[in-house]
Amino acid sequence: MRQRKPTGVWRLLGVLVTLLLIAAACGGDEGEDATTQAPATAPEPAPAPDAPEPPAPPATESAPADAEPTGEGASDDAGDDPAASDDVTATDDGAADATGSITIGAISTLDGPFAALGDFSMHGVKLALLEYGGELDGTDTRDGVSGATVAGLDIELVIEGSDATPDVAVEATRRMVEQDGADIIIGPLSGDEGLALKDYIRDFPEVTLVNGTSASQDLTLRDPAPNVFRFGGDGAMWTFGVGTYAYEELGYRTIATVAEDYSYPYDQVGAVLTEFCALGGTVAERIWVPLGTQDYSSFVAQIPNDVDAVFFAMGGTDAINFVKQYDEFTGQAIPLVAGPTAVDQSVLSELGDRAEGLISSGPVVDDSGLAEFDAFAARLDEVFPGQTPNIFNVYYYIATKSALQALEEVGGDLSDASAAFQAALAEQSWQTPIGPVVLDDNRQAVVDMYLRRVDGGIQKTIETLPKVNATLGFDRDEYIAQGSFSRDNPSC
Amino acid sequence: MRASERWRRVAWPLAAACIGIVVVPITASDFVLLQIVIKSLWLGIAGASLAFLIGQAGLISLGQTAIFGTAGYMMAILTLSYGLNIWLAAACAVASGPVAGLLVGLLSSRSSGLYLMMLTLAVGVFAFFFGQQYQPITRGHTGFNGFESPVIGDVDFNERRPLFYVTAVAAVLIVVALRYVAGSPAGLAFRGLRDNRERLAALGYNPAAVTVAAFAVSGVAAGIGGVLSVWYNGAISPGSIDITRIIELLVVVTIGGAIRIEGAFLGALAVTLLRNFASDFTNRVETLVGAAFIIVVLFSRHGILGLWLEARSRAPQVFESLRGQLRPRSRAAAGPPAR
Repeated sequence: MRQRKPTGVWRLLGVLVTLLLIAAACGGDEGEDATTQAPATAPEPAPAPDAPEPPAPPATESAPADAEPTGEGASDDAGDDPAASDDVTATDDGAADATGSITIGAISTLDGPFAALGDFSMHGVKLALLEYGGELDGTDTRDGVSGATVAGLDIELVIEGSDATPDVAVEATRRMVEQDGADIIIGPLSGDEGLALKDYIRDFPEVTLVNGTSASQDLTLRDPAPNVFRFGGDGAMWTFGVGTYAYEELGYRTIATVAEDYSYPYDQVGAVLTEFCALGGTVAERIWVPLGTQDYSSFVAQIPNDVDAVFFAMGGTDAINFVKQYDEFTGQAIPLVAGPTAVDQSVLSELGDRAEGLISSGPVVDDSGLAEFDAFAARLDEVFPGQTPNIFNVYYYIATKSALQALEEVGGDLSDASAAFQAALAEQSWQTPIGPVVLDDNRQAVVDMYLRRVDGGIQKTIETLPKVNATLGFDRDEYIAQGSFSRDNPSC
Repeated sequence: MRASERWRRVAWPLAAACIGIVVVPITASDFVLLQIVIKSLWLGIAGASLAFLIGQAGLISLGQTAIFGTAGYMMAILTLSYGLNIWLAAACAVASGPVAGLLVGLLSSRSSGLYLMMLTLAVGVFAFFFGQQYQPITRGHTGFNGFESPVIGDVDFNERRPLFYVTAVAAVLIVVALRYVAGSPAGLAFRGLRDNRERLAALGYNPAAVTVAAFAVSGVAAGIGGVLSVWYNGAISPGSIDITRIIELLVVVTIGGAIRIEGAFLGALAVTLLRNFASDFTNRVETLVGAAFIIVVLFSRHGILGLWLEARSRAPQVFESLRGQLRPRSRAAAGPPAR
């Protein structure tokens, strides 16, 4: 007995391997999709030249269709539509075609520090799908929407969450793309996740990523991926106009900045300083605080006494903690100017009266008077009672709706590695709840921003800044050449 | 006789592992191969370093992510910041594992139990904040993106199958090596540390030195796990080593069972499967992982592995008692009904 024990221990290794095999076997079922997906995309470029248009698909499509075992993958999709319109009989596999359904995967931060923001984003996604005949499956954030159709095709919604770390975001997206066969990904929420997903999605040209609120400049500005689209601004665009307004209208000449120590606040501070310093202003001190800091006393102490104003770029609880402690230490002696998310509608109520009068720039104001905005706000409140428009639900809504509109224009045709769809998406130009949107050559939106002031608990417009582009109106080559914004770039 | 018996013991699990390495990439889909198999393998390797510490030396370390992160960051920094040859960088990164382990061990060599946990937790959290804030080296919150695994000739380790082979072979080697250490006189000293620190000292061993050695050994596995995680993710950021990852490693080892090194792989597989497939049935994946953790801890001190071992050790008795019970029962049934 005793001698056999260690033998059995070694058996465990075998058991482990067996378990792996079982896992592999289980996955094999669904895996059929994934394995055929890869070859399905590979041969596509070859036949494309001789048969560029969908009307002549039998030749190109029949090969993968034959190769596909009449197994789960096929029956799954055929199940929805057994009569399978006679023109194309191939299965939908991410590479997609004119039958079956189209899968949209939405990703946001449903766990971790930004979980509340994740809920807002999903409201936006669902609202767009409801416009296409969908119905909410339930009230939970992860409950999907069923019944939405575009061009006669069923739209399936898959929802995945990350915890704001790039690793988890990539795994969640991989699950949607390779396991659930998502054709379009909406999201993610945060900047670094966006950069990681850009790297991942580049390998799947047939899948289209429509960004949610990831505000990293380099998602589109430098080294763009052909299948990544952003219908909103980036961190720098959201801060456009503040530097100029602070110098010209408010008469500030020297400012200090306090911001969280990562790429998104770098963009905000960078944009403010680029404008402010170009006009002749100076920055006395740039203070970077770690994300999630509780005690700001040592940072507040670093703010020089002789500055005209302090620009702070933080999000969520960080902004609230900072403002509270800033007031305690300085007695509000030096005026604050805010970054876009520090006073976003999603956190505005928590700042309470203190937010009154804070100047910022950003994509969403409550008094724009746009019919689209009012309709969106009304619909949002109707479907998700008590919710008001903020950057997250508006941006995810715009992303989803843009994708659905483009899908409708091409009749749901995702053949040829989504070429027609992506072309249509790049041409999208419509009146969103926050103003008109068009895309530039890098598939980055050119959009209106608003210089705004908090008044009565809502964001009121000081000035509309029309057609802000990714280079903030500066010369494109020069702007790109100055490098990504960082702790000490721009150096003014 | 003894040698051949030992060989027999080793032969068939190794053969099974080899078969697995051959068969899995053929049967598994791309997705399962990468996100389930490879992920559980590297997570298991990292977990094995903790399973070794807990199971063999009785050291509950919460600083494994620091070692893991050191190696991972070394891999990324040396290639992406300094443009070092990727194999040289990988060698340096793997070597940095035991060095980091040594340092963590030195720091915590005089403590044990709760104090060791607190100390190593501090180390783990320190590593996270260092990554988050020491920007000139670690690139701060964003960390490193766009890491490309090496390519030799036609073999591209960014592809899933080559990456699988590397990870699987590494996993097998780690298990073999850690088991070898556990079976050596050094392993005896580790278990002495686990069972009774004072008596180990009375026997003439230096418990502090033994602790440091155990951490250094575990650092080998943690380091390799860190390097492979960078190959897998193509990126590393402070989020890869934050407090939730520290807890995740602990969960992996607890669910799998720390009495044997292999338990970490079982745990990694279980957690990975739950994370990936549970969302098909429920919206509360994290709750489910937590519930699984509680259930495992409640019902089996040694995790899934413990359940299995117990079932196996009891199986003969159960069989016998079943057999024993069946006979008298049938007799009783045949006998005259009492009452």
